[in-house]
Amino acid sequence: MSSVSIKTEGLTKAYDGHTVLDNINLQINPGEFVCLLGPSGCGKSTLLRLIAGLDKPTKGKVFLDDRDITNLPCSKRNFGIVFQSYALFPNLSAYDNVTYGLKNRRMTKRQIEETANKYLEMVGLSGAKKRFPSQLSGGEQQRVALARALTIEPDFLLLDEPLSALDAKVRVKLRHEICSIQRELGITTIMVTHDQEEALTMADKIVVMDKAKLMQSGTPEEIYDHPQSRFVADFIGAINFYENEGETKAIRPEKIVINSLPGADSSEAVLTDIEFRGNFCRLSARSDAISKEHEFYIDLPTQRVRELKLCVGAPAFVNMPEAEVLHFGGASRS
Amino acid sequence: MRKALEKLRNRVITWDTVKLIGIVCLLAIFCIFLVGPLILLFVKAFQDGSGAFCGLAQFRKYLSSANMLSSLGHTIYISLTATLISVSAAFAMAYSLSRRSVPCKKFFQFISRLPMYAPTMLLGMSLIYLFGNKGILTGLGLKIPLYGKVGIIIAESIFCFPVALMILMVAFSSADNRLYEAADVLHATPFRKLITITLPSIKYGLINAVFVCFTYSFTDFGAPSVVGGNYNVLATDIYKQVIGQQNFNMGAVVGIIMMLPTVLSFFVDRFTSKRQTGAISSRSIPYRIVPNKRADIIATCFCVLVTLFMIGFFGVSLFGSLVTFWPYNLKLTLSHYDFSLISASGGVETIFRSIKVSALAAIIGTIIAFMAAYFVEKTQKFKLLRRIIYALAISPNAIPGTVIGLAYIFFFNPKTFPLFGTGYQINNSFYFLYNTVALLVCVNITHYFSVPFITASTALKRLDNEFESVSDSLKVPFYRTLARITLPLSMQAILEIAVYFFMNSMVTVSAVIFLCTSITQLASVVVVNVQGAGNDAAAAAICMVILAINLIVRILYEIINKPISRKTDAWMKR
Ligand SMILES: Nc1ncnc2c1ncn2[C@@H]1O[C@H](COP(=O)(O)OP(=O)(O)O)[C@@H](O)[C@H]1O
Ligand SMILES: [Mg+2]
Repeated sequence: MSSVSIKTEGLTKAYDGHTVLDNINLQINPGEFVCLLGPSGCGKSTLLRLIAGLDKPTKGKVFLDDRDITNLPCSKRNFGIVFQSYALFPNLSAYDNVTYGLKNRRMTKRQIEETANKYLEMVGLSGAKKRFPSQLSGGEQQRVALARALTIEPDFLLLDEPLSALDAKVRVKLRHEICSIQRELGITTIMVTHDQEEALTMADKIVVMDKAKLMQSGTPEEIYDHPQSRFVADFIGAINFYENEGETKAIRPEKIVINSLPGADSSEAVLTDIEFRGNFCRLSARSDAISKEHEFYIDLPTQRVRELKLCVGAPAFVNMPEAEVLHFGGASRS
Repeated sequence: MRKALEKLRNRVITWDTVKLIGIVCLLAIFCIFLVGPLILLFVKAFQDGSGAFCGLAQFRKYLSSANMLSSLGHTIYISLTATLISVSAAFAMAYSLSRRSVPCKKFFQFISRLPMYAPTMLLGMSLIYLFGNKGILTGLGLKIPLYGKVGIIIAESIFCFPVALMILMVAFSSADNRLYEAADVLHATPFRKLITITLPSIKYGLINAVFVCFTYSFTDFGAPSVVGGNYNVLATDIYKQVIGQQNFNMGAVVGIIMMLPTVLSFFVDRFTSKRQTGAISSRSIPYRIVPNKRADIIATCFCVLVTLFMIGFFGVSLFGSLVTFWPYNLKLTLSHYDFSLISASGGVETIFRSIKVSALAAIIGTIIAFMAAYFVEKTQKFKLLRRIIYALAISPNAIPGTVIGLAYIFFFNPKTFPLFGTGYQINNSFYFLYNTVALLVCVNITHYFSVPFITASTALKRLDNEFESVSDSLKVPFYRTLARITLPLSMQAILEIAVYFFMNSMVTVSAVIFLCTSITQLASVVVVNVQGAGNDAAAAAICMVILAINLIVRILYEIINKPISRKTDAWMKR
């Protein structure tokens, strides 16, 4: 399977004068796993559909390996797609679904069978060939849809919220499977999701979108550690915002240092709540030195909470290391 | 140069082009068989007999004639009364069948549909056998002034009952049981539940049923032609104007006036059907019947009563068609079923012709209705064209059969059309269809097009639009997905549509009566002629044959549909 690069230039889409995608410039390298992340309704699916050729952009261009494919109909772009609803043909068995795209090619019956078996095996469904979609579980249906998309040996793979209809356990399992299949095939992949955890764990590169605009793109670490806007900081991971010296600042809850004794640079705070979350605890604290209006959160390993003997109402001393504080400009803005 | 070549290669004929051709073909069909005739009908209404433009003169003449005005009043009166009766009865029946535990529901429903399977003239004839001068009940001392409004009202009430029942059954079935459970928890009385939950949830169905029944009785031709006597109504007026007095322009005027309530009903239906589908969410829980002995017994009794009435009502015509000479010689005979005795209009062959027309209407109509629905629902491009097709496809619902029949005469009968202002004539290239069986097929498809189209659209809407996207990505041409996926999954709707076209084409009179000539006579029209000539027994016999054919088709449908629906249900299970 060949890997391709995908590029969009000033991609814009409007429905009845209402802009749902605004000047999107995107660069995806060969073999990269990219997650489009954003709140629902921000235009992620629309972007995916434009790349697939299922819709035509109002403005802008799509490139595949530097070839302009903006006007290429979708059946002439070589890609696989998996939808949130899976869109499995209900009247065809799992096997027939998987071979659906192979039948109209010049392939012998043997070749078709081999290809289908290869991908069914890859998704771990060799035993369920004869079953109809209504007889498969959600996770199995998703695997069939993935196999079906892969059979035509696509240049790139598009996944539109493939995991959001599944329950938590299956979701985590499939995350790993999709990642390992993607790596095995080395296929350029774009996955839409509104689940930040999914994006952080799966992606080589995350593209954060909001209200039709591209907000930031980068590796998961970059996005998490250096969000360039308040929105991105807020949307990915938990974060505390506070105004200080006329500036909006933010810090992740796990980056705050807490102690039971005062130290250099630390300010006094009162713990108002301790929320047990298993391996760690989320503490709520209030400190007049940091913010008079807002409480802020601190994440601390449960072990450490016990060691420090922290409890609600007790005073504690917090320190926000300057290196970890994010700055978002003037307080009036944002 | 190379760039241009590249561009060209990307623009090679795609399947979109094929779809576009299909859509344009459909538009052309609509223009010839719906838009063209209707335009001519409108033109005729503003012309006088010589073809000169006369503005509203014809309308003024109509409104100043006492006779004509009275028929408008009559029509409104009988329609209102018949609507009230049929909707009330259908409401009670729908309630009994959907909210009470009643045995043999399928059977009751089947029998209550009988009036749809026979020409409406049969309803009039049964009334004559019961209440006519020599009727059974008249003989027993139960005298009613049958000929005139009473007869028409009874006949129309029975005629409208099945369709009202169907609409209300759907409305009742859309209830959300969680609301009833919530009300029970709050100790609501049955009356309050009726007022606050049941009525609001079936409100739109009820409104829709009222308008549909009103339209049905407003435009029906069959029943008034049999039991109308001297009581004139619009549908028979048009016929008299056109066939009796050859006053085509006045016929067009009456046609347009007749369309006022049907157009209104059309918009009400648009409005209510949108509301109703919005009212049930996917999370609704179907109504669970709570047994209540007394109410259940009353409901069962009501259903039994309706069923007995229907069986008796149709039975009496069957009996009438089987006795030698009603009511003097009650010896059973099959002589009335010897249609070779029916002189001028031909006998057995009209029945075969009816079957042929209905079968063709079923096959061709189903293909066109499904195609139209497919292009409207499953194409992403050509938004404007799709909108136009949609509007054209649902508009026959707003046009009474008599009006369509008349419009067809205007469009297909003349050899040439005069061009306004100039002295030129243009040849009518569709004249060849006049006086053919093919035209009868066309008029039936057009007349009954909307319901099948909506049925097909609804079925297609239920299928994931992403099937098409996936097929595109797999580079499977659209027609393969249509054949392999869409059609098999829509099989139930397709069968239903075919049966609908067939049955209605078998019983319809209103549109075809203007187009049938001696060489293209249909059984249902023969019924009108034979009955008009006083041969009630033969007319009843033909009705019975039509009824029997429709029943057979219906039973065949049930047999074929059973495995299909079981399979489809298994596929579509989530
Ligand atoms: N076919 C369409 N016509 C009109 N508006 C649309 C259409 N498809 C999507 N939209 C609008 O575009 C916006 C973005 O939609 P979408 O890309 O599906 O968001 P998401 O990020 O949740 O996938 C939404 O406001 C949606 O209502
Ligand atoms: Mg989406």
